[in-house]
Amino acid sequence: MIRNQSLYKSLLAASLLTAAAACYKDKGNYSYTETNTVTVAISNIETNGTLNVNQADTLRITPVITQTLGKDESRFAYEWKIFDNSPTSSYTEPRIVVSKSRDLKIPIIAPNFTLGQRYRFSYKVTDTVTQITAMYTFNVQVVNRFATGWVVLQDLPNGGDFSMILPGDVVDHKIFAQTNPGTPLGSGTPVRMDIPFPSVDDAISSPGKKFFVYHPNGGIELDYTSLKKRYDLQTMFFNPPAVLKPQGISYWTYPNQVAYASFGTFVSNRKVYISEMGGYPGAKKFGSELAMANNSNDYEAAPDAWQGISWPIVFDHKNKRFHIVRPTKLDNFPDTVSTVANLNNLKKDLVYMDESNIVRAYNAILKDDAGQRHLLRITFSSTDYILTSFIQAMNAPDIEQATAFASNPTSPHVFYGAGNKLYRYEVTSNSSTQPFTFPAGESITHIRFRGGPEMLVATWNGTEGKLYRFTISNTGAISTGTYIKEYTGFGKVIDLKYKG
Amino acid sequence: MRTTTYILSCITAVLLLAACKKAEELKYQEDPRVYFTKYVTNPDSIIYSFAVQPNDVTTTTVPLTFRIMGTAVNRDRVINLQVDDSSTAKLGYHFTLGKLVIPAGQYQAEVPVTIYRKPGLKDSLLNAYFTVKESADFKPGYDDYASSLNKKTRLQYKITVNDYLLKPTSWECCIAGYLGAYSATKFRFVILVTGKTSWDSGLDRTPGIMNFVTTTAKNALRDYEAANGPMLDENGQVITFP
Repeated sequence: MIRNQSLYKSLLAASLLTAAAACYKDKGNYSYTETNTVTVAISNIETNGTLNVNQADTLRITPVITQTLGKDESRFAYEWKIFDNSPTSSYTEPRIVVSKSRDLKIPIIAPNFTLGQRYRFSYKVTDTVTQITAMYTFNVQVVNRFATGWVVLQDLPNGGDFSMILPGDVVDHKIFAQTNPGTPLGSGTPVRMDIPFPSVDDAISSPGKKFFVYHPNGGIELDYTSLKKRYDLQTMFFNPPAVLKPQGISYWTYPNQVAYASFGTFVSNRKVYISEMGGYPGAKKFGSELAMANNSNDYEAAPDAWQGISWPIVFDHKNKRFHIVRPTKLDNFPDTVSTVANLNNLKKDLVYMDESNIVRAYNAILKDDAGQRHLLRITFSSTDYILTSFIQAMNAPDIEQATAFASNPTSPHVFYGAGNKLYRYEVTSNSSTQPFTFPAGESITHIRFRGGPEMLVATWNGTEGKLYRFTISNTGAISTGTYIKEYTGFGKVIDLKYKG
Repeated sequence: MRTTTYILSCITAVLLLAACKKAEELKYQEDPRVYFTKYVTNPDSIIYSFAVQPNDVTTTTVPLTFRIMGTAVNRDRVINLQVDDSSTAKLGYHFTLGKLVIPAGQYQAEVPVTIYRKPGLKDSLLNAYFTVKESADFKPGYDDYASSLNKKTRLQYKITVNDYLLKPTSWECCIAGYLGAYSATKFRFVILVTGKTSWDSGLDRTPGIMNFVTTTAKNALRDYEAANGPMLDENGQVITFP
């Protein structure tokens, strides 16, 4: 008992001393050792930014490592780690260390990288002495080197193929043979290609942009990214026509809906076929050929369809008129749509048509029975089918011999080529100039715009195709008076489109 | 005192040991039940017409799809399906039923109903009404509310059969906009030139399919008229499409 009391007294005393010690004021007069803070930066890639890298290219990155104390980098450990961070990928994709070097140098190839996928990169620098780390994260999108550029479809001695003028003025030839070894582009001279603007979700192939190439008795769709053949165009029909002679495929969105196409038109053998898109299940294929409003099929459609208000319009060469393309027929325009031209009975044939520099307005060059060219301006209102237009006999020298046309999307001009002469027709003043002449012996075959500032002209001299790139000013003039780049070594150009 | 403490300790030890006995798991023992499945693509009834088939087709098979409530077991279990007295189609003459069982280990089963093309179907529309009843293995499943999609509950099903063209129930709502006013002659012509025989499901009438059907029929009608003149329906009206 006495022994217990002594123990209690001792514990009480210890507690009192501990409590008293808590009252001691800390003077805070410590001495500190500065640590080496490491930061990482990579030029041209912001943190969490995205870098597009061509498949099969080698990715080289030299990070900038900054230290507060400037220690020897030999004490650092490095790690480059990736995982597939594509929107369609799961959250459990494996994390792969692709390098343990200070600088990165890796080929963007399988098995670690797949075309079209997006990868999250993390770069970690560890100071092995202090164990302090610095991180830098960014994304790499694996893209095809043929993702953007001018596509030049040509007739070549051993069959059709296409070249591309890639960014940086790099020209690559026979691309279809590269991406589809052993597979011919088609039988016979290629006819045309189409790269419609909107993305398409037709449940026939993966949602996205389309790329078509036609030959005299068929055609194919290419994968937009890999440029590999997807299928023959018969696949796109519920019941393919007995004779398939593709001339043009267009896709359209309803006004103010730009994500995916809502409607497709397929012109084959001068007949129109449609595919109505939408969120309904099943494949959105093309149906049977459309008949006119009177259920006659005695018409000859032009290859292109043009966005109207809700439905596209097409030109009918045989009846020299336009039709509204509805899901089950080619319909007439209401009588009230125009006071200057009867679109149901123009009595003039269509020579050329394209979008003008005004929204929902088109330049259509028509030819009357006497050969006179007329410019018809078709302007759709934004709310209904009411349509205002003007028509004027064109004051345009040599236009009767013109073999190529292009409307400038940013100025009121239509460029056209006749022989080796390049003309510019001004719609507003109904007058023409001849801003450029190509070398004798060359004939203009195609003129195309990419936006307003870039114009590409293709010529053919009987043995070689050439392309000339011009810069066009805001007022529609050739900026330097001549082309800024000449591309040689092409076959005869069949079609010219920009893939972007 | 010490003896009392000893006895109490023994009793406590025995009680503690008794507590270690494993108790039976408490599990909910549900009544096995069975009912008809009903989805958009498998609604509460089937309408079948031999009229859209060639003459040499004398039988067809349609499924009744059953699903169980509860867990599967390791033996076949019998479904009690009653053919209601209100049925005008006769079991054994107009139709026969396959084996009415849920196979061992299965949660769902399709029981085939074989329908026979009898002469009386040429001018008669016959119905077979089915109701799930209690069997030794299953009680009837749940009896949900009828909806605009399913007019019957999950315990009932109807098969309608004929050998003449029956206007699809969806014609006015969903087909007339493409093909116009109904007539048997027009409908038969559309079936003939398109080969399409399913019309009742929404999946049968997507815009793409209906555009294809309409344009195919219009083109065929144009060819017919070029060879034969206007096509008249059973009412003497000239057949047209919008």
